[in-house]
Amino acid sequence: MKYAYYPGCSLHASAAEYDISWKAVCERLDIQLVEMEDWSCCGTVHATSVDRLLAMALAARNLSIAEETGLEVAVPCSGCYKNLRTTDEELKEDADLRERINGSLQRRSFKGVTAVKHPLYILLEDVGLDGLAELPRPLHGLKVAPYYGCVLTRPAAKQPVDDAEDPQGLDRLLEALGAEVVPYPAKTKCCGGAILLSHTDVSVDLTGQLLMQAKEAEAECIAVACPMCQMALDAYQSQVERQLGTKLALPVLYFTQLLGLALGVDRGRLGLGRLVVSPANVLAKV
Amino acid sequence: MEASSTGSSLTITDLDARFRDEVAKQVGKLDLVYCFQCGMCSGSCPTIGRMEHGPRRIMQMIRLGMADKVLRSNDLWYCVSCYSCTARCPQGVQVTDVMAGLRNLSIAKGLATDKEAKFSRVFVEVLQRYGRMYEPEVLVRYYMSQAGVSALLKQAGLGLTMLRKGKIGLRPERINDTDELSDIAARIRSNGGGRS
Repeated sequence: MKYAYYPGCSLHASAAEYDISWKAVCERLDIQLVEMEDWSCCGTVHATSVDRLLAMALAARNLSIAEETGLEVAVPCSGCYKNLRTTDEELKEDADLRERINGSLQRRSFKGVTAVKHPLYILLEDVGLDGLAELPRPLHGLKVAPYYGCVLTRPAAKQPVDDAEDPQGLDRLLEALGAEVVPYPAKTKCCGGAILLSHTDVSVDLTGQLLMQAKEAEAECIAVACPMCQMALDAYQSQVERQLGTKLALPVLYFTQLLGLALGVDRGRLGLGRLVVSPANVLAKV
Repeated sequence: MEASSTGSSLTITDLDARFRDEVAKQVGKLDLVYCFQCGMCSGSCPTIGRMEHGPRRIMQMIRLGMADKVLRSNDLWYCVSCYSCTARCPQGVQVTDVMAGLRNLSIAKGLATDKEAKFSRVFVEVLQRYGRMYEPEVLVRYYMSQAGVSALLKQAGLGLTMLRKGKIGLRPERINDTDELSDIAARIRSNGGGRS
């Protein structure tokens, strides 16, 4: 199994532990990743706010590079994934728009011959949970709250891989790892990551509700699939604690880190020390 | 006069009959005409508590041609692009894309005053400079533009934590030809914005 790999800016900086753990998991599962040559920023929500067409052109530039590899492209950041996936869908459908965007790219051209996939659904759909049948170190007894955030499942894809209102992918993966999946209402509510830096108070409110719900449901940690969600829930957790006047100490791990643990990947190769809220106590039991 | 100053009634001369089509062009579709004002969007919005109007009312304000009020509204910048409204709209209106299109128009016309508008512009400038995101530069430029050094210093604690955890790159990564993205942006702009 082989994919073009679009890490996106976060996985080369603030979310390096996502990059490290995803690569370690791929190595263990015989998934080959070919990092795309000269990839550029997807534009995130901010380029979309300034100019939607520019954001599409930025996504199309990256898609054209992925297309040159002849492979499907793996995109771990939900924000990048949403930008690349929706642009891929729109440009495949709308010939006029495609022509216009390609005109702006000049030396490159979007052809519509790849597919954009998130690692969570590569594991579920392409690898399959059967491939995880015999885990060296199952996460028995670990209570995990799965957090999907917004743009992993929304806007709905033309061919959806999960349900936008009540997605199950992360639940299924965590169950297969032997973890106890904790239900709580906020699993698809937004963390406010899009305006985290300009309106920090909004994000702190939203993540405060979410973290409290997970805590009340007796979760010992949260599993995420997006660097923005991780940053809002982890790096800003001390601000949430100050606002709520309570200690939460809820570690926020990438699902690839939990998968790596269950697969018996050496802990030193999962970037666990890079999380702001330490998972050491919680993981001592698995 | 009382009525218009409270914003509860409309003055015909303040309305812009072309606004609806201008928004549709920016978004690439005219689906907001199917909105029947059920309020599912505002009911699903995680930041509705911060908004003056909320998405339901904004959809109607667009149709009425209340261009100035809509484009000056900070509601546009409290939208967190979570697509909850879009996922639930019974009429299939791409509400989140409409909100993004409104942010585009608000910036293009110089009517955006919200902090997030400034942040987004700084972000795109840095993106075009390197081809990849370099967060330290965005943050320094953004915080300095807001409240100067004091705003920047407030973030120092978190900044140090991020540095200690290796979450901040010490040098920007660049793409091979850093002019490429500025050229793409220039060609998009010269096409005059909007979708058709």
